[in-house]
Formats: sequence, structure tokens, C-alpha cells
Amino acid sequence: MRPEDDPMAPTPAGPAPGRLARSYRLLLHLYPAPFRRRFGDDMTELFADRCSEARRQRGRAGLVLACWRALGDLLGQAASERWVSHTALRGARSPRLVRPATGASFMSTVAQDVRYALRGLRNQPAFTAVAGLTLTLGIGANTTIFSLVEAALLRPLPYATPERLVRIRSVDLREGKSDSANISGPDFLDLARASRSLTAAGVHGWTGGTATLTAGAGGGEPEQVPAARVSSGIFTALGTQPALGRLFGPDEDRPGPPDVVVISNGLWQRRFAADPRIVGRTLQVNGTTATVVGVLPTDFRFPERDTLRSAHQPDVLRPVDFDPKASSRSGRYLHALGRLRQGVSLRTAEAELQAIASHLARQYPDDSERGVRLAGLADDLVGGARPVLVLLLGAVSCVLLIACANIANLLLARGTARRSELAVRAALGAARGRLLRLLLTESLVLALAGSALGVALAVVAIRLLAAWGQGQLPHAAGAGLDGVVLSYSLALALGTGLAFGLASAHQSAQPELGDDLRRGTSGGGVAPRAGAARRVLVVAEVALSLVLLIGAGLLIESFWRLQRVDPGFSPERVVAFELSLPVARYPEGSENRFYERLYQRAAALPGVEAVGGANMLPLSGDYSCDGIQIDDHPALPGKIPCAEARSVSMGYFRTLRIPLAAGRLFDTRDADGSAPVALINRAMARRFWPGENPLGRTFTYEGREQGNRRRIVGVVADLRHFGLDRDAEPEFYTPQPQQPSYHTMTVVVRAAADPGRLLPALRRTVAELDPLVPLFRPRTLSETIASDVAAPRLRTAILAAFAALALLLAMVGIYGVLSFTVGQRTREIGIRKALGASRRDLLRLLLSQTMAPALVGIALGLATAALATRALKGLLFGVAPTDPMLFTVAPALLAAAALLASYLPTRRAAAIEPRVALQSE
Amino acid sequence: MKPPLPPFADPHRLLPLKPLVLEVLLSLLGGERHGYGLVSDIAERSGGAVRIEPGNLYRSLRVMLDLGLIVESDRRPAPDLDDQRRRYYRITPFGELVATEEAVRLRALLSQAGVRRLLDHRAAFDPGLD
Repeated sequence: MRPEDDPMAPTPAGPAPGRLARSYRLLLHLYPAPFRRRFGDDMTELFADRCSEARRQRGRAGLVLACWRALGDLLGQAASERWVSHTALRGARSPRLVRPATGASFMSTVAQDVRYALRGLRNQPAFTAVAGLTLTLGIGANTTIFSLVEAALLRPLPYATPERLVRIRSVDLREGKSDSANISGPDFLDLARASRSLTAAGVHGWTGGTATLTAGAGGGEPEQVPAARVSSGIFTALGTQPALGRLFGPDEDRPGPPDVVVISNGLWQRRFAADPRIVGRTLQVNGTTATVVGVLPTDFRFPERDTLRSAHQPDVLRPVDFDPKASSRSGRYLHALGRLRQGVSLRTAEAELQAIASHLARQYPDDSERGVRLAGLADDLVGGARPVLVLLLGAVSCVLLIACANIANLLLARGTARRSELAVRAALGAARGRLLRLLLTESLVLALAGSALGVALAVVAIRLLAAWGQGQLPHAAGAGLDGVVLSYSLALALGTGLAFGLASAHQSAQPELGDDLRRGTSGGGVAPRAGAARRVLVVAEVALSLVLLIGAGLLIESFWRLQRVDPGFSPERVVAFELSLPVARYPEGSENRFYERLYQRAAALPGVEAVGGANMLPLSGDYSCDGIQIDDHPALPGKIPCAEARSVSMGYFRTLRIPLAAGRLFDTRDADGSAPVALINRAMARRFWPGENPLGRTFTYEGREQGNRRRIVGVVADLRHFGLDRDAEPEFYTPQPQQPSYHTMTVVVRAAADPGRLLPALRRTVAELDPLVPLFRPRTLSETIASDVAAPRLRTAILAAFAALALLLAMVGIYGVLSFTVGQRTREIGIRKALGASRRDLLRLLLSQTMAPALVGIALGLATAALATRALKGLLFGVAPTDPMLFTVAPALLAAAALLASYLPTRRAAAIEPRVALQSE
Repeated sequence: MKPPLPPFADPHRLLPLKPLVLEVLLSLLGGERHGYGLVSDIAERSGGAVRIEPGNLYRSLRVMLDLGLIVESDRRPAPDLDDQRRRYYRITPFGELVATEEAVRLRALLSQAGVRRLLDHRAAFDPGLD
């Protein structure tokens, strides 16, 4: 019995397991198992010996060179061995010991193959152009989307150990409330003080607010800059280090003198010319003197969704302005975050904070039912973008798969035509492995070239998207071609090259080479296996296209419905802007006089139809839910409902054309000192007085003026405040004169004609009243509506573009398959015609090549789509993921497209003259 | 493992031989060798002219085994290395035949007038060349 068959024979001990040797042993797995079992030990030992010898003789460099050579040898020989062991079972006839023409090493044969591949591509410009273009589009699109994904989802947050950072959300546990996150100052302080699981926590507040900045005392141009409020804990939690000076300390987390600010690096460079003595200088911020105590570093990013990745940062940071003792617990306008203690899990911390919150709720019982939820800060800031980006990445990958299928089809067709060439090569002595490598090299060269162009395309596309999708892709600001993205592109290129290369090479190199030399090239014609492979590819392409079509169709329909939603007000020809009155010069109660005068003067301007004001507009992204007590239906403590509170001027409803449903609007009766009144919207009437008439009823609410009882004098129509895709919430409106005004109000002006033209006059009007009150964020309400649908519009447009591309590619694929079949089977078709085959028979023959697989593909695609579209639920509005109409229309469309693509080749086949066809071979 | 070709198969179908194959046959003509011994033998004899890597060596061995040029012999400890049992290889009569035919071919090549002229020319510059 031979030693290797003897189960009792001890196996020889392996070579000394150095690290290199172990790696070599691993790589040996590239060889087929029988070979590895026989020779693996010896090979490893030989390798180890060569390495040590090389190291001895020529040091490190020699070792590296030896490893390089060994790697090349291993890869090349393993490929050959695998290929040979395939066909060895078939009784290969060509001798494999024939020396290659130049006797060169592996690496130089690779160079040879590359040159040959390039020549081949140059000789077939049509094929190269089509394949190259397809790859460029496919890989370019993928690279673009992936760079967005990378910028938004894969990059870590720009803070110290970001995985320990959490967003602290104070949520309303009552059902039906939106998932707000805002917390009140006093609540936060109690939580932070009592918590053991957080090492640092802070609050920040910024809803796009700005501050007026004048340098020095009373001098310099006033400038409107973005400003935000932060507590000292924010810097501690984020691990921020100042570039100059210091950041806020815990004793500064309160309002009142001395007023300190921290400025951004950008502002320091821009306005103060990077003055190294900026620390200690004073500025006028909103009319108050404040001292600059520090400058932020250039890479500081404010922890909000809109600012996380963008270059647009708040320029002035001020300390939080709530008084721990006096501020109301229900004034929820702050965002909180914290850092988890080492070793504490998120769930543990959340449970602890929830316990503290429950304790607080018991202590201050007229608060609503509050709870605390924690989420990873990364999730909170960028998680919202995940569904859309994943959707886009999935869609664009489908497009690439379809593109690969097309190229594989093209290569299969070409491969079939090249079989005779390959047969000649093999007879001249080329080893099978060598042939395989040759074909793979062609595919890889094509893939790499196509992807290089694709990457160039992606650079342009990314730039376009950045300019275009300004507000809609905030997370993806800063998307570009960095190492990760380029690696992804390279991997895609190699993957696609190998995929379609192997698919076609397998086909081309398989058959008995000798037979091919004896037969004519189009003799029995199409190798049945290649034909089947092409039909399978058509099935796959059609299925994928259908999934994309249905997905795009859903989004399109959804967007169309969203567009037609009535926002509840009329945005045409309305311009809006914010005004911010400096606290220093407008003590409580005096703001209203300013606004009254402004409304009068503005209404008198030529071209103005109506003027109004409110503390916040619909679709502003802001909200303010105050607890209310209905006198007729008192609620239990802990179960106090809340309704959106708005302070509006008399002319507000008329300016926005919000219809009145019952009662009356505000008028001059509702002045300061008169009976407190309120208007409510229909949603509030339905919620709290279902089936009753709410006029004349009363309720009290907390918030700015606790305990003030108001009588309802009218009901207005609902507004879509939170977004066109969200229903209206209960809202109530109080007249601006009847309560202390907000220092910042939004003013709306309806113009008779173009609203933009009114802006200069409006600015003048404001300046006449007070030159130090600037007007900021001017915009038209039409723009506001447009930007609310901008994100759905962008993703719908992108997905629709991908679906169209996929459809086009599938049609090209179908056309190609049929066209090639007709070409290959010209003789056969001619014979059939000569034998009397009717048109119908011919049609059946040809269409079975394309329509049969297309129908199978459609069936497959429908099934897949039915499952896959469930993932889209969150992005749809007013349309079900399995909308029956779409699931009927899309397949019909695709079938029609397949028929259309089959049309030209079919016509060509019909035009074949039997006589000519029979002569043609 | 495939059965080797019958001994009456035509050796000329295998010519010209790859350099490594010829070297292995030459080594084995001097007696049985194990893989390691082949390497050192060839390295010594050819002075590094033939590149030997584990991959191409063992693959060539496998093909030579398949074609019947060599066979495996019993495994036994190698006295010149450690005591591990090693695979030994032995040349077959067919292998000898093929090696001989290759030698004949090479001699015929060297006898050609053009080649002789090249060698004489070279020898004029480098008398050490034989």
C-alpha cells in the first residue's frame, strides 16, 4: 500500500511555523485540494527555505523580492493548476509541457496580456465604446452615491470618542405626540446633577437664530451672524479644545452679567483678521456688551443635523440664558447631549435617567407625562438620512448589476465568435490557464478603464449634487473622493471585471478545441450553453429593471400626491422675514408698540395687500407645545394635553388667507387690557370639544403666562405646520397685543405683484423705526413650500433617473441578445424559410429568445418587488407599497419595452432571403 | 491520479521541454531524489539559471507524474536532512527516453552551422567558454 493511502502512516511534521510560512500555507488554499494535500508541506518548506536564504544573502530587500516572486508564482500556478484539473478529467489532448514562446516570468506575461487586451479593445471600437460607456455610467453612479453614503453614514462624528456620546431626549409619553426631543433648562439641570452614568452633559439651542454683531463699543458695521446658545457641559462632553483663550465654565451657565461669548474660527479670521489679542476684546451682541473669552478650533462642528458636516457654523456662541430657579419647566426649547461613563451601556444610562425623570414628574405634578430616551448621537444626527441613502445605494447597485449582465452578454457573444481564434492558440501550445488569464485580463482592463472614467464622472456628479441639493443633503456635505470611496470604486471595478470576465471566459474556453478547428465558425452555430447563459442574464436584467421601475413609480406617485397637498394657507406672493429686537433697548412690554407701528407703516406701502406677524410660521421647523387645561373637561394631573401655541397679529390670517370656519378673527377689540381671547384651529376643536360648539368656551394654558384664562372667539382652518406630509395638530392663537411679545417675530407681507420687489421698501420701513434692528432671513413662502418638498423631490428624481437607466440598459441587452442570435442563426432561419416556415413560426422562434425570458423576469421581478417595496414604507405618502395599479402598469411597460427592443432584429430576420442565407457560409 | 501514458507513446509530442523539466530529469538520472534534493541539485548544476519556485516546481512534478515521466518512490527518512519521511521521485524508462530525445534535439541544434559560428565568435572573446 502506498504511504499516502495508509491511514496508519504518520504524517510528516510540518515546517517550522514562521509567520510568512503560515501565510504561504493559507494561500496554498488557492490550489485544488488534491494537489495541496500532496505537495503542500513540501512547497511550504521550500518557500520558507528560499526566504531565509534570500534574507541571508541579500537582507530585507532580498526577502521582499523572494516573497514577491513566490506570490506571483503561486497565483499563476494555482490558476493554471485549477484550470487544468478541470479539463484534466476530460482527457486534454494538448501537451502542457510546451515552453511558452518567450519563457518569461509570470509578471512579464501579465504585461504581455495587458498589451494584447488593449490591442483587442482598440480593434473593436463598437464593443469597447458600448461596454466602456455602460461601465462608466454604472460605476460613476455607484461611486457618487457611495460617496454620499460615506460622508453621511460612515464617517465618525468629529468629536472625541464619539461612540460614547448620546442624545438625551425628553419625550412626551402620551400617545399621538410627535417625537420631539426638546428639553427644558430646569429639567436638564436636575437630570444632569443626579445622573451617575454621564460624565458630562450639556444643552444647546439653535433654530437658525442670529445675533447682531458690532465690534467694539458703538462702532463698526452691524453684521447679522448665526448665533447659538450652549452650556459649558457641551464643550466638556464633546471634548472640544479652544484654539485661543478658553471655553465656558460651569459658573457661566446662567444669564446676566458679565456677558461672555465664544466665537468661531471662521469669524475670527474673517472679521478680526485673526487678531491674537481677540481674547478679552468686547463686542456688541444684540446691543449688549459682551467679552470674547475664546475662539473655537477650525474643525469644530456644532452638534445639529444641519451643521454637523457643513462649513456653515454658528459664529457666536453664548451661554444658556435660563435661570435655574425661575425658568419654567415647560419651556422646552433646548437640545441635550451627554457622554456615557466608561463601562456604562446606553440602556443602563437610559433606565437611570428615566427613573430620575419619573421622580421629577412626581415632584412637579402638573407637568405632562415626560420620559427620557437616549440615542447614540451619531444615530440622532445622521440616522435620518439612512433609509434614503440605503435606498439609493441599493438602486444604483441594481443598475450596475444590469450593466454587468449586458457586458457579460456582449462578451459571450464576442467569445463565441472568438472560439476559433482561441482554438488556434491552444493548438499552438498555449496552456488553458494561460488562455483563461488572457480573457480575464481583457475584462479587467476594460473594467478598470471604464471605472477610471466613471470616477471622473463621479467627481462632476458630486459637485453638481452639492450645488443642487443644498439643503436636502446636509449630512452629505463634504462628500468627496477620499480613500474609502476610491477603494470602493476599485473594488467595484475588479468585482465587475472578474464577474463578467469569468462568466464569458468559462464559456469560451470550455469546448473541445479540436472540434472547433474542424468545423466552420457558424456551423451548428450557437453553443447551447452560451445561449442559455444569455437568456438567464436577460431574466436577471428584466427582473432588476422591474424592481427599480416599481420603486421609482411608488416614489413618483408619492411625490405627486405630496405636491397636491393643501398647506392650509396661500403662499403665493407672500414674503416673510424675521426681526429681532435687542433686549437691552426693548424691555418687556415695549416690543408690541414697535410691531404695531411696523404693521401700520408696512401696510401703507404701495403694492402691499396685507401685513401680519407671528412668533413662528408653519413649515418653519419650529414648534412650541404648551400644556392646556380645558375648563369644561379638566384633565388629571399627569395627563395634561398640550396644544401648539402661537402669538399672532391681527392681520396674520388675512395675509396668509387662512379661512375662518366659525366666529370671528382678531380685531381692534382685542387690545392689551381687554378680555383675553383666543382662536383655535379645527383640529383643536375636534380634539377637545368633539361634536360641540367651542365658541365661548374657555381654557387656561401654561407657558409664557401661566394661568391666564382665555375665551375662544373663533375657529380657523387647519394649517400643515409640521410638514406637508403630516396632519395638522391642535393649535391656538393669541393676539399679539394681549401678551408679552417675543423679541423675535416673523413678519409676513402679501404683495399685489412680485413680493421680492417689496424688500427694499420693507427694509427702509424697519430702519426708519429703528436703524439698529436688521431684517433677516427674507424669503418667499413659495420657497418655503418648495423646500419642504425638496428632499422628496430630489430622491424621487434620482431614483427615477436610475430606473430609466436600468430600463434602457435592459432594452439594450435584449436587443443585443436577439440581434446576435439572428446573426448567428442566419443560415438556420434561411433554411426554415425555404422549407416553408410562416412568419408566425419565425416570430415564435425569435421571440422565444427574448420574450420568454422577459416574461420570466417580469414574474420574478414582481415577486421581488412585492417584498422589497415594504422597505420604502417610511418614504411614501398616500400610496401603499403594493399599489395594485403600479404593479400592473410597470410590468406592462417593461413588456412593451422588451417587444420594442426585439423589433429591429426581428425585422432583420424577416428580411432574410433563403437563397442568400444558404450561400453565405 | 491519472494513469500514465502507455510506454509506447511518442516522446516527440512532448518536445521541446521546459528547462525545469529537463533539469529534473537530469537530476533523477543520477538516482532517486526528494523534492528538496532536486532543488539543491538543480541550483548547483545550473548555477541559478533556472528559476525554481515551489509553485512551478511541484506543478511540473505533478504533470510529469501524470504523463509518466517520473513516479513516486517509497517515503523514507532523508539522511541528509532531518528524520522526517520525505517523498522520493524516480525516473521511469519513458522519462529516460524523453530526456534522451531532448538531448538529441539539443545536440542537433548545437551542430547547426549558424550556432557553431556564434559559439566560435564568443569563444574568441572569452576563452574560458567551452
